[in-house]
Amino acid sequence: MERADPDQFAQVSKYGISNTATTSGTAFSLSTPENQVSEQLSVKILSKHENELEFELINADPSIANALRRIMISEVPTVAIEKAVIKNNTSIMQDEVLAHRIGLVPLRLDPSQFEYFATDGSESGTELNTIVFTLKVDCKMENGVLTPDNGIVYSRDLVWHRDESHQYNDRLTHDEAGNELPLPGPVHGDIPIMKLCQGQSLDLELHCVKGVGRDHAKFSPVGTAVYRLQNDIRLSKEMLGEEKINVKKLSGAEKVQVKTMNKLRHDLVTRCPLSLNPGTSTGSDTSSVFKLIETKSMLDGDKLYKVKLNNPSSCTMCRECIQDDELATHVQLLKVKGDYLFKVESIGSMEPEDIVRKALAVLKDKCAKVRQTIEDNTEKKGGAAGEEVDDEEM
Amino acid sequence: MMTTAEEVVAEKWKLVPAFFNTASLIQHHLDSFDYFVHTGMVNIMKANQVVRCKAIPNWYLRFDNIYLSNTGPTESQGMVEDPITPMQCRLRDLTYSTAIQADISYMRGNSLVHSQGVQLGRLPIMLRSSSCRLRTQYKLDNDLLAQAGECPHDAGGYFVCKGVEKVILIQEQLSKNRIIIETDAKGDISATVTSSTHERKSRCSIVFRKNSFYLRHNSFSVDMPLVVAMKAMDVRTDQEIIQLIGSDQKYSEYLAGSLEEASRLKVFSRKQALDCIGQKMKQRMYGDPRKPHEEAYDVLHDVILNHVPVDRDNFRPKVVYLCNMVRRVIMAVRGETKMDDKDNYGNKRLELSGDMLSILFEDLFKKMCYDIQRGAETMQSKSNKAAAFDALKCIRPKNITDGFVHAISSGNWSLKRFRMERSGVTQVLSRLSYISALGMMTRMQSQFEKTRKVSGPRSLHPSTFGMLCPADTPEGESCGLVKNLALLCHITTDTNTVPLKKLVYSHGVEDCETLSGDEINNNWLVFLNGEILGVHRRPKAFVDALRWYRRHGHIGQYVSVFVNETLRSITIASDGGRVCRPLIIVEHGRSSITPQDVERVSSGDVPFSSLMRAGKIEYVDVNEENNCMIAFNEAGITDETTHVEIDPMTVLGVCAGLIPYPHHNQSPRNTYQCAMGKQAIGAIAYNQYERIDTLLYLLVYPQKPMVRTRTIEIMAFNELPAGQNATVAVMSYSGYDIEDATVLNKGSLDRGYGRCLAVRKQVTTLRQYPDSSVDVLAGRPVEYAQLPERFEKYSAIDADGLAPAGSRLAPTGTVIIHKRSPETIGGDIFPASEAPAAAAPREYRDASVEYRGPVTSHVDKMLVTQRDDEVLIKALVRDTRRPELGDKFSSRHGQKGTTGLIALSEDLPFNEQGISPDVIMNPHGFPSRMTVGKMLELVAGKAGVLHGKFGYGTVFGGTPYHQIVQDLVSRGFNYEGKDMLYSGITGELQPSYVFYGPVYYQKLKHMVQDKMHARSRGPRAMLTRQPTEGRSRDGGLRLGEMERDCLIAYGATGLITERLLTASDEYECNVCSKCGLIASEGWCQSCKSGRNICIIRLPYACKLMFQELQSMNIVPRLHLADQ
Repeated sequence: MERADPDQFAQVSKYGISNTATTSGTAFSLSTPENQVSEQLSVKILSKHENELEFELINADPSIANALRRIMISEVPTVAIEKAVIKNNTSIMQDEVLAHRIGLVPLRLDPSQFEYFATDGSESGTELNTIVFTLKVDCKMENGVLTPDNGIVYSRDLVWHRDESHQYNDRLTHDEAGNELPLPGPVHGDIPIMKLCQGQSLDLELHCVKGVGRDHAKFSPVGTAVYRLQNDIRLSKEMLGEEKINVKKLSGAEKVQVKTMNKLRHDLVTRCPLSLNPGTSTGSDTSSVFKLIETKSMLDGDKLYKVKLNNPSSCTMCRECIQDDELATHVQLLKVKGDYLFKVESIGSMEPEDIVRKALAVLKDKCAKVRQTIEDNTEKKGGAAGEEVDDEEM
Repeated sequence: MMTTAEEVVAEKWKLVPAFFNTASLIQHHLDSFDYFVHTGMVNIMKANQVVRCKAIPNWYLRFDNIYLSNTGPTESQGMVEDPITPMQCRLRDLTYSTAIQADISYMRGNSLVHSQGVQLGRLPIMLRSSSCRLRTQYKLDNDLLAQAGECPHDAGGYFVCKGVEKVILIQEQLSKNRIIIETDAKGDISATVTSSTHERKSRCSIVFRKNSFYLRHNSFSVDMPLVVAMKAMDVRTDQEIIQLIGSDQKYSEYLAGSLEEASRLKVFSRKQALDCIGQKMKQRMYGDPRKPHEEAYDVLHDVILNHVPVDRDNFRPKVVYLCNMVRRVIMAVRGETKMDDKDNYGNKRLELSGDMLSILFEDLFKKMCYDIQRGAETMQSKSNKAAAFDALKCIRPKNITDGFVHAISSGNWSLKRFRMERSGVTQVLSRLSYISALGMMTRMQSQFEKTRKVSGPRSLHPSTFGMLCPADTPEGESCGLVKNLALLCHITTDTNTVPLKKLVYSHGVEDCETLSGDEINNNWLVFLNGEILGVHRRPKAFVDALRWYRRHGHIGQYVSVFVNETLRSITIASDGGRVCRPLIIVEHGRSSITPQDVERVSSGDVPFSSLMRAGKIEYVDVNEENNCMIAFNEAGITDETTHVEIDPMTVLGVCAGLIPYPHHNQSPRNTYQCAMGKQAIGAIAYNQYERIDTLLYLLVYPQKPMVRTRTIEIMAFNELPAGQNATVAVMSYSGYDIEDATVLNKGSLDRGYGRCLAVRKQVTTLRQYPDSSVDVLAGRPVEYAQLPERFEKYSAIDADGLAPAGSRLAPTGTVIIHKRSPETIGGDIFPASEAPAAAAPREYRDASVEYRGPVTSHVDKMLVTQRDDEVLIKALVRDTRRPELGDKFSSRHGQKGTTGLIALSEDLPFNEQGISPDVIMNPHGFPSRMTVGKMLELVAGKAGVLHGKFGYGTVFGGTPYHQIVQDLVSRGFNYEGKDMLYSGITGELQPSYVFYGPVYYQKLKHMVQDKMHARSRGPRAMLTRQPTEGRSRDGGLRLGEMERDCLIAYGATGLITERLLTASDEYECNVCSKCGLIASEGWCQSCKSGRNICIIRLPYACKLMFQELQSMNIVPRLHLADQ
């Protein structure tokens, strides 16, 4: 089989991956002129289910894709519980452990409505930087049943402490258009926080602030944001089995050759755990990587098959198909450099598209900051001012 | 037929959990204690049943019965006995004990009085023994135990003494009453017996030296010629001696020398022999002086080989025994037999808590009897007797109570009567983790000295297979001396020998009494617990019969029957302290266990013991194992096989049972893990939050391991785990992971990985002083209201003088308990000037308990209770710790490492699923350690995660690799467990695949927070004025001799002066340059002059030494020179 372009593809083989590095001069590398990059760069949304967004970023340098991923994880701000004032806790759970657990509960709050809380202690909580929740549960035995909820404290027991003296309450209850929003509260109401026993009670005041995931994982808006490189699987012509064979005209040696090849095709598909195997029921039709298709021709009573490359992007790179040396000569597993399949799993406090958008904004800010710094420095040195910035590239 | 055999192979392990349904993992401790309570105590009482007094001829006191009070463990409140639970004892620092009561008949005046239920003292009760409230009252039922504050998984087997949990460790000793052939210090071959009975312990040997035999014993000043001793024991003729030892020439030729020696000494008759011995006796230190020959007779009668019973003047059994010893020496001299292996486990006996208590009780009981006797004597000597002597008044229960409590809490068993001086018999039960507590109960100490450089007793002896865990032993000085029991090992207790003897005699054993020497020596000798019962002609038939009886429950299941072919003897053992283990009986090449048996027993339809009664499983001890052919598994059964293992996993103990795939690891790694499993932080017990211990570490989110073993399930490690399943990437990252350091994911730490609680106890008591003053608790000082900053440390105190639960404690020393003690104590108990009630208001000083620690902590709990006449206050202080740089972690394969870096989660690599690792481990940890088990754990865990089931890594079993591979591949993962990773920093695909998956990681107790220490200035020692030593005293870091040598060699004089003088104990001193002595300020007292005073700098320790020398009349003089 012919070799894939090392600039475009990383070659996956049995003991390692070659050509993983980004070579300069490719269409998506950063050394390529800016406008050319922006022309070629594209985004394609693949799917969206509730809090999960999958999209494809094509022709981007890994630094760009990775910056996006990193920012989504650690630099897109959200609001989370930061301080717990424990007025009463007669449960068996220690105050610190309880506070830690509650802190990890994702909240449905728009971070853009909040200011950062100064960490140097110079500032006290205001209605602009803090929102207060309360958690007050008294567990009682009623008719032989622990109430509430069999003694389990759920995240839904976190209640927004609405202080009517605050002038910004509306911002939390209505959107810009004046439509009523659901009240601030946890994203999921059914997260168990702890169990109480008869007579135990909790009384907590919880102060939520805006923060970023770098500070603490609870501020991260995503469960994870991740990408993988697009797969490209190439099969040899013999493997695909596309050329027409006239069964009747084959010589003995050719027959053996056809038979081995046929067996190899069968092997490939049965070996691949993500292919729809003729014998088993695993793998669905659309996500199947390879498909074994029966041809009409038969040889000595054996059916002849051809292989169809069905959905290479669902390949998980288990390398089962290249474990066998014989098979490996017919299969080429490739990773398309510059083609990223992103998956953003929001924890629910924000729509995943929003997270991507905000991450891009953060990235843009960062770039601007770097550019500004460079400009400032070059000006000081008396050099020429930097070029005009075209901020609309992304 | 083959199919059933295979079914058995697959399911047979279920017998092991079935076994533990009825027995505990530490059954040996419970059995031993129960034996002491029910049998041992009574035996001791019977041996000392009657107390008499020489002075009053018709007076006596007799113990009719002895037993524990039926009230169960109680707290004595004067006249009232309050029932107590172990948890109350732990919390209130009490002893969990029950009264020992006796029925006594004694003479008072001229009448015989019967007294029932007289209290003799209190016996600390072993938890979960048959006398423990947890068994009698709470029935070991989970709900009832919870009410008593006990954990259902706690094994018991320990004592609670003054609130401290104490374990009496198992002690390993050489067998008593057995002949051991060895070479003595001079290289002569000898047969040694240590005889032990209730009355006496003695050690005697037969030595073959310079062509004749000698009897060696402590009470003889020289080695006694054998023939002399024999003649003294009423053997009349030389012919009889030869016959008894062996008339065959190969034996008799060795006897010529001995016989000649006797005639040389002119010993022909018994009288002459006794006189001869009497002359060579060591002088006794005490007792009435007696005639030498009488003394000799008594020693031969009562002391030498005292375990062989001598009925009046009938020395015959002793002579036969002695001759057997001689025969064995001759066989060894001729090279027919080898020296006995002292390290063979058949020659060892284990002493358990019951035995130790028994020795102690015997001593205390005898002391009590002596006290009664002395009381009677003093009473008699008094001239005016107002009332008749009441012996019960002489019984002071406190003596026995304190005797037990003191011995158990200090661990010192010092009994003068047995010349026994042992320390460290008991240890505090380690509650670091569930495993450490459990491991302690199976631990065993050898009596060998740790300092001796011998490898024999330390090395792993083949005879311990299946009895002792081959992996679990500490490293360092006590390596191989401290051992642990294997899972199914059982330690026997003494059994009654009377029915056994009857049975033996009724099966054709002939008593030696009626037999001549030749008849004895030409047949097979039958021993029972080291005593010669007689001879038998057909050993095979006899042994088969005995074993048949044992298998069908007619004699005790722990009785062992062992045929020694070389010595032509049959050894029957029913004594206590032998180790044995259950094995499946194989008959006609087939295991007697059927799949139906396994099914019935594991479903609980029939108890495990039914298999014993059905003759399908039996206990075999180390000696009997020598007569067995034990197959490792069904596949290994041949025609000669007699037994097959229940399951190979039972060769390991509880600690090694934690390790997945240990049979794939290099063996020292398993040993390391056994030591480290005990240091792992996790859940300790279900009652862990109720406990108030000195120091407790608890994991906030403990997890069950992804890869388990059957042992883990049996010992409930699942329910009280110590560790977490971390996703591990085996790769190098950042360079902060070299030398076993690990990299942790900050995101994981944020989410609670490795988070633990450290809970510490602080105690104080409110005492009452003789002058009726008392310690008091006080609220915040009044000044607090005005100056809260100055009295900051009282901020946590409530009105009752205690910091309430949840209070914040700052490292600056917040007061936890504001206690105030009277300023002046003592003086007159009742001041003469005023009545005590009208005493002036007392001055109090602050005696608060302050929090001392490097970080902010919180009060967890406060306990106020009464103990004796003090108020006991315990405060529990807690801090929560998140892993930090330098904290120690380890996997279950002896792979420990500290945290080298906490990396941001976005910096860490991620796989195609978006999973980033919790822990990164450097691959260099693998090649030299060869812990293949860890790799298997990883892939088995990964396959388990993907399929929603647990992996199994049981020894010699577990999920097979091909199964794991299939599971991985079927979910689209690489069969090797290697994933494709993307760098979190550059975002690029990494060119290498990375071994990636879950591994169970333990957080170990060594944490930076408890260890970090630095000092610039600080406290100094009073005497030398040098900086104090140790972290707890904020001490300095020592620049030792070797460091000093380096600096000298380098010539760094300035640095040396600075470290050793300026930064230490620099002192300016007045010295008289004329006389060279240390002077006082500006004046030399010895020259009576102030003219030659100089001021020099020197270490204070140096000045101190000069003055100390002067005080010893040595004059050190300083010769000063100009600089």
